[in-house]
Parts: sequence; structure tokens; C-alpha cells
Amino acid sequence: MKENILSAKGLCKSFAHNGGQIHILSHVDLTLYQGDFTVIMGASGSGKSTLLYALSGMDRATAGEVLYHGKNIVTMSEKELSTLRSNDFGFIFQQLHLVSNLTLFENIVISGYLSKTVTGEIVRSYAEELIEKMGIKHIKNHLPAQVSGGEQQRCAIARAVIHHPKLIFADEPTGALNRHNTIEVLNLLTSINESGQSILMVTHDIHVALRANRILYLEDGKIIGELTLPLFCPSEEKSREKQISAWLHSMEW
Amino acid sequence: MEMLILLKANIRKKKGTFISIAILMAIVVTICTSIISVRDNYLNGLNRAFEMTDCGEILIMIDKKKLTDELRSTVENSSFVKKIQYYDSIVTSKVVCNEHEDRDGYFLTELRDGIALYNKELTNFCENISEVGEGEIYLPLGLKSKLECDLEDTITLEVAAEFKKDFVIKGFVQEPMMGSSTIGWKQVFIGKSDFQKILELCSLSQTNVQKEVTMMSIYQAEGNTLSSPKFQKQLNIETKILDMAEGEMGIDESKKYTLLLPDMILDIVFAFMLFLFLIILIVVSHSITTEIDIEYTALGILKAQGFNNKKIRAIFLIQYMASLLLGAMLGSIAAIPIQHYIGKACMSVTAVLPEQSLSIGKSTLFTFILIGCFCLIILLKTRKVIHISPVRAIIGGVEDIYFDSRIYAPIFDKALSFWLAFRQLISAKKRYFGVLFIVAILTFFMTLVNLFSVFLASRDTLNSMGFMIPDITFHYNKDTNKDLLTEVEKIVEKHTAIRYKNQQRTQYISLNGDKIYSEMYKYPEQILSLTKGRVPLYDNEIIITQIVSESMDLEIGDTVILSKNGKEVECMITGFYQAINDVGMIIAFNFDLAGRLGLPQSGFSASFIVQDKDKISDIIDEIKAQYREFLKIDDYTTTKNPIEIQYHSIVDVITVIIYSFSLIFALIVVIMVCNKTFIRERRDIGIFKALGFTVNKLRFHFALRFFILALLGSFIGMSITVVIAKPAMSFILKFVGLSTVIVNFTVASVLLPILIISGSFFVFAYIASKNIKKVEVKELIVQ
Repeated sequence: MKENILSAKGLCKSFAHNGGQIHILSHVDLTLYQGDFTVIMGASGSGKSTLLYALSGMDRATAGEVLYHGKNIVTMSEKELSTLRSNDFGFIFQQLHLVSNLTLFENIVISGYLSKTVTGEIVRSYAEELIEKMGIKHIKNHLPAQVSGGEQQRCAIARAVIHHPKLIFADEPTGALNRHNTIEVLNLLTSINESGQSILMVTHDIHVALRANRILYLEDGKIIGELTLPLFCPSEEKSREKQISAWLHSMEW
Repeated sequence: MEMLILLKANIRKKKGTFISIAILMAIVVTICTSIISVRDNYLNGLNRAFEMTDCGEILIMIDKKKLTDELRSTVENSSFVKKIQYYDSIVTSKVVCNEHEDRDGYFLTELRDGIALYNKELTNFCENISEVGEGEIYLPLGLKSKLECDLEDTITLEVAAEFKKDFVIKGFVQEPMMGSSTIGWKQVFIGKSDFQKILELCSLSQTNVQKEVTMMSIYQAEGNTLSSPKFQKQLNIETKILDMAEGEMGIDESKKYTLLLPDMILDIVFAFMLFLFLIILIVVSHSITTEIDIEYTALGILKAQGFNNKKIRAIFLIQYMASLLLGAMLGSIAAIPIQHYIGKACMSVTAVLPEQSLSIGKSTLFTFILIGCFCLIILLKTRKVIHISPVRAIIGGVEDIYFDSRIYAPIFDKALSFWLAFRQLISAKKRYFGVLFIVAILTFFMTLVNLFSVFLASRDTLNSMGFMIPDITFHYNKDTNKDLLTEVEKIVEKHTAIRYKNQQRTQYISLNGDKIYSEMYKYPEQILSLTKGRVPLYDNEIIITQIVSESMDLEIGDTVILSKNGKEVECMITGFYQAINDVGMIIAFNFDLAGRLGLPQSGFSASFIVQDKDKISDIIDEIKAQYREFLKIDDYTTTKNPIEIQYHSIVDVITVIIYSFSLIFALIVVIMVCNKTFIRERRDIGIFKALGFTVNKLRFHFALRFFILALLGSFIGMSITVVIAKPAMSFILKFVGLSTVIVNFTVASVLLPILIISGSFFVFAYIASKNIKKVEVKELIVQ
């Protein structure tokens, strides 16, 4: 029995538009489990990113609740959300979003320092370990503007995990990367998932979705399908791709 | 048309910046225009006052007995003289009013034509001045503040320490020659019958003390256009009238003394305003540079659409000019009441009704010079537009790369906020150079004004600088043939050791034909403010001030001719010293030389600085017991000296002006710079929020960065002050006749501006960073 890590009930998100309302998310019910690599897929405008940010507390839902350890994220104060972000959640953005005047190493450690769960010494030591793992040790003292997009995204992944979050939210993390960098980043995400890290990722790329063991399909703000898969194994990539394609086809993707 | 659309859009979008610049410009233009106008208004007011009173170029006060028919005829027939008007007067030995005592000579005269009476509100003159009734008196307006008196108050005039008479103040009049509160002598106006009564009393006097004085208002011959000092010198060379006189005052000197204090304050404030103008230049320059950086993409797109460099630069020029011109216009309008207010505030010192108009010509020229400087800066700064490449702009411009430092500032887990703030500062240090410079200027002025306060707070410093404020001074209260001052000295010595003692008198004499104020000392070796050479020990030696040296081209070792009462003595200059009387135009010598010039070899007063201040009350008690009738005692250990009070109030006014404008400028500069920084760093703020930084923490970082910046800037300002405080203070104190200044840096004088400016930067930056609340993490999301 997998441990429930985060759950949403009746989650709604609407925007006022031209005097009316547009409903992006409509009564979404969802549970995320410890150690899962969950991917949300759907067509453009289906509400994937909106769901991701509503679940992570980056954006406030219009109605419904998101329970994390029994607490409703939707009603949390800014301060509580900050604590949540600094201790329990990690974020990887599509547009990289590293602090431009901090080196890659500093971008990573700052998250660790902020969580204050361990000493600075331990944070630095773990950061060294991560950058080694991410293959960016040789450029750790470079500024974001001085390295490639792939290297920046690897740094962003290291930053997302430095404070040992319970859950990583990734919004199309390979969206701005070339094929080579995409594979590198996916390998890293797969690797950290294998070590027990829970990940929730949004993507519209089937090759990216291959890495997940659970795929949710979103349409018009509702989850209309769910596919559960075994853990990713590179040798089964082709058959896994076919299985997911067929499933997506059935979802009218 | 397309430019108009862009202009409107830009002004709408950046209205905060333009409003701030307009406010800064308005402040500078208001104050500068007001100062220019007040100075013109006073000069015009003084000229008009001299015309109204129809007085000659010089006014000579001469003992009636010394003005022989022969001397009178010699002066009247001088080729330099057109005509002379004579006024009989009686000189007072002491005046008491509302517990204020004044020993400067007041010349009682009958009311004459040309003297204008102020209305009750002191806003204009009454149409007519009514006759002075018995027991009534008209006083020059300068006495209102000096004696803190008002209409209907009683003033007691004492002549030759023998006759006292009370008068009721009937009104305040304009007497431009000696009416200012900065000039000791005064002409006061009484009725004919009172004048005759006092004259009769004088004729019964048993003492030889001077009472009746003839005032000679001398008009320069037509065709002669000598300045009043030159006129005095030529007249004296020809007639020796000044050698015989008790004192004289020329129109030029009168104007100088009348406007001395307002000019000093206004000049300091004007200089401060010019530095504030420099700050606005930096602000505008910073604003343009930042705007070009932030709008790089938009400007590139404009170029791609066909806007050429000239058009884009013209848009920048027009939008900033519109803001500056608006500020200048508002400033000019605000200057109308402000100059009126400043003019009225200065009336208590100048005693002259100023004109109340704006000096439109001079102010407009000044404003256009300021705007011309802005034009130049805008054109220089917008050269950056030429280098904008549409292609580079469209692919993302230069926004991402704003790291411009080679200095590496590490980030530590301990005091993370500080290290982050420091890194943000170091990362874009070029952007903050302007702010650093602004803080340095503000700190410099704030520290400088503090140093003046420290300077005034230390009597030892004041004494060695020539202000001479002893612990205790004894003045003759009544004429006596006994040398009581020497007796007093013995009593003081009996109680405590004396650190400084002197007996002194003062007198105008001639030096190489020029009138000069002189101090005569019984103990010249005790002069504390000697700056060079040695004190005058013999009866043919004098010391002079640096200002006398410069204006008369005299040096140590030179010989000069001193003359008084028809006697001439050749003397040698043995040293330089400092004193503030007559704005530093002063010399000193001993009683022996005074004797050779036919002057009394005794002091008016004796002053002491004693070792044990606790004994002063015992000394006073003993002297009061013995000589209460003859001596007046000023105890400056318990009360402030009038000089101290006057200079303290000047420094207080300047302190308030400098501190308040510094804080206003700091506020506006911080808000402007913070807003620009906020726009640039909006994305980073979003990232920090996503990482878990709270709004308060981010605002604290933001404010901390400006605090560090202000701290660095204020240290630079303080360093500048250390280097140039002495010449700057010397320059300012030359107004009051001091050329060598002792600067005492105290911890408080230096730390206070640093703390105030850094603290206010922190608070203002924290307030200005409220926009951080509006940044939402979801802004980082691309959908």
C-alpha cells in the first residue's frame, strides 16, 4: 500500500473573462503517492500547468482543497506556503529560472540554507555530491548566463532536491531544451525518482512521459484517464511508448 | 504623431519617476529662486531705505567738544565732500529692556525727516510718522529681536552711568545705516523736549565721560564715485576727521554688516542646493541608463519598426524635459510665498523692509542653466540608444546578464540575508555608483553641519579661534576713578588659579589712513587666538588678522602708521591672530601703545577663565558684596554668551534645512532606485519566493542592500569630510572673519549622519519594497 503524499478534492480554478468565467479546472479529485513519478498530460489549454501550480500552492485554487499532511494548502497563509516551499516541495520550471547573479553552486545551496533542517556544512557537502551527479562540477562557479540551457536545467534539478523535498513539481522541465539535453535531464529525474523521490511532472511530450509510472490525462480541466505503469526500464522503451500511445489515442489525444 | 503616442504611453507608464524628478527639481528651483530673490529684494530694500532716509555716504560720530569750528570748516571745504548734515545726539552708556542689557552706544537724536515707521504687522510703512511725545521713543527694528521688546514696552536709557530715563516704545522705524541687529551702535529717536531735558542733565554731570556726540552725515562730492571705505580714507587723509571721531559707518560697510548673517545662511543653503541639483543630475542619469536597459527589447522593436536614433533620443529628451520644466514651473510658483517668508524671517536681523518680488530675470536664467545641464546629461546618456541592435533586442536583449562585477562575494548560511544583499549589491555595483555618490554628498553636508555644532559647543575651541567666551566678565557699571578691575583680579586669584585673564577696551582708529577696529589688551601675552608670530609686547607693536593681512597686503615685519586723536605712531606687525569683530577687520595691541595714541590705558572690562569653576559663585558673591554699585558681572558658566546664542541659532537653522532636505532627497532617490531595481529583479524575486523566501525576508534583503549601500556611501562622505572639512569650514567662517579653523571630530558628529542616512535608507527601501508583495510565483509559469 503506497503512502498518500498529497490529495486534492473538488479542485476548481476559474478566471473572469469578458464579464463571464472560464473554468480551467473543474472539480478535480486526485491523490499523489510517495515514490511515484506522476505525469500529467493533456492537450494545450487543458489545464495541466494550472493543476500543477494549484496542487503546489504556487497558485490558489478557486474552490476545493489540496491536503498535504492533513493541512489544506489552498487556505494556507503566504508564510506557511513559504515554509512548505523551503522544506517540503521542490520546483523545476520550464524557463529554468535560476537567480542570475548567483553561481550554479550558490543557486543550489541557497535552497538548502533556507530550509535550515541541516547545517550549512551538510548542505554544501550534499550540493557537491549533487553537482557531481548532475555533471556540472566543472562549471559550478559559472553564472547561469555563462552555461547552456541543459546545464542550467541540471542545476535547477539539483536545486529542487538539495533540501530533500517530499515532492518535486516539474513544469515541462525539458520544454526549452534540445534533444540531447532533454535525455540528460530525464535520466537525472528518473535517477532521483529511483532513489525514492516523488515527482509530479507536466508534459505534452510522450518521450518524457515514458519515464513515469503513473500518467494522468486531463481534458477541459478534468482528469478523464489514468494509466499505471511499472517503473521505467530503458530496454522496454519501445513497448512502453506503444502502450502509452495507444492509451493516449483512446483518450483522443 | 507616432512620437506623441509613445510620449503619452511612456509618461503614463513611468509617471512615478517623472513625478519624483519634478518634485526634486521643484525643491531646488523653489529654494534657489527664493534665495536669489531674497538677496535681490534685500539689496533693493536697503538701497531704497538709504534713499528714503537721504543719508550721506558716511556717518561720523564725533565728540561735540572735538568738533572744532576749524575741523568742521576743513571737512566742509574738502574737495571730496558735497554737503554735511549735522545731528546732535546723546550717547548712552547702558540700555536695559526686558532684562536685556546693552552696552553698545545708542545715539539719542530727535526724530527727523526720512525715518519711516513700520506698521504693527511689519509688512509695510505707515503713511505718516507721528511726533514723539514725552517719554516715548522710536527704535530701529533691529532692536526688536536684539532686546526682545515690543510696542508699549519700557526701555531704560542710561547716560554716562549717571542719568537714567524710562521711555515707552512707540514704534519701530527703518534706520538703514545702523538699524541691523548685527550692528552694535544704534540711532534711537526721541522727542525734542526729552532731548533737551537729557542735555540739561548732561550739563550738570560731574564726570568727563563722553555724552554729547555730533553725528555728521557726509555726502560725497558730485562726480566722485568712491566706495565708502575709499571715501573715508581720502577724507581722513585730507582732514583727519576720522582720527578724531568716536566711530563712523559707511553705506558699503553698513550693507555688508546688515546682510552678513542672512547672506551667510543663504549662501550655505544655496551651495547645498547646488549639490542637491547634482543629485538630481545623477538621478536622471541613472533613470535613463536603467530605462534603456529595461526597455532594451522594446527600443529594439521600435528601431525595427523604423524609429531612428534621433527620434528615440528625442522621446527621452522630451519626456524628461517635460518633467523638469514642470518641476521648475512649480518651483517658481512655490518660490513666491517662500521668498516672502524667508524675507520676513530675515527682517529681525536686517531691520529693513525687503521688496517682495521674484527676481524673474536672474531666476529664469539660473533655471535655464540648470535645465541646460540636464539637456547635456540626457543627450550624453541616451547615446546608448545608438548601440541598440534590433536583432539582439528581439532575441532577448541584454537583460539577463546584469552581473558586472569581478569581485566575488561569497554566500554563507550564517547571516544569509546579509550575504545575499551584499551579493546583489556587488553584482551590479555600477548601477549603484550614483546612489553611493548621492549618499556621500548628503553625509558630507550633515557631518559638516554637525562639526559646526561641535565647534560651537567647545568654548576652548571658540576661545582659541577668537570668539573669546570667558567664564566670567566684569564691566564697569558706573564711572569711577578707581581701578576696580585690578582689585577684581586679586579677588579672583584669591579663590582659584586663573587660566586666562585680560582687561580690554576697543576703539576705532586709523591704520595707514584706513579705519580699523582695534582691541587693546592689558595682558597681550594672554591672547589665545594667536595663529602666527608673537603677541605685541611693546608700545610699537601690533598683531593683525589674516583678513586684515589679505585686504591691506600686510605681513609680519611690516611697519604701519596708527593714528588717533591727532597722534601718529609707527608700529611693526609681530603676528597674526583671529577675532570676529568687524568681520575680522581688526588689530590688537597693548595698553602702552593705546597711551601713545592718546587713548585711556585702562579696560572697559576684565575677563577670566578660571581653573576651578565651582568657585565662581563665591567670587561673584564677594565682588557683589564689595562693588555691586560699580560693576556688572556676566557669568558665562551658567548662561550663554550672546555670540554663542546667535551662532547656535544660525547653525540650528542650517541643520534643520540640511537634515530635512537630505531626508526628503534620500526618500525620493531610494523610492526611484528601488522601483527600477524592482522592475529589473522581478523575476529573481519570483524565483526566491518559489524557493521559499517569505515576503518579509525578501523585503528585508532589499532594504538591507540599500542599508549597506548607504553605509558605504556615508563612509565615503565621512572620509571626504575628514579631508575637506577644514578648508570648507574656513571658507564659510570667513564670512564672520575667521580664516583659520580648528576642527574637532567627535564620535557623535560623525556617527549621527551615518546612522541617520543609513537608517533612513533602510526604512525608505523597506517601504519602497512593498511591491514585492505583488510578485506572484505563478509569474514564472509559462503557459
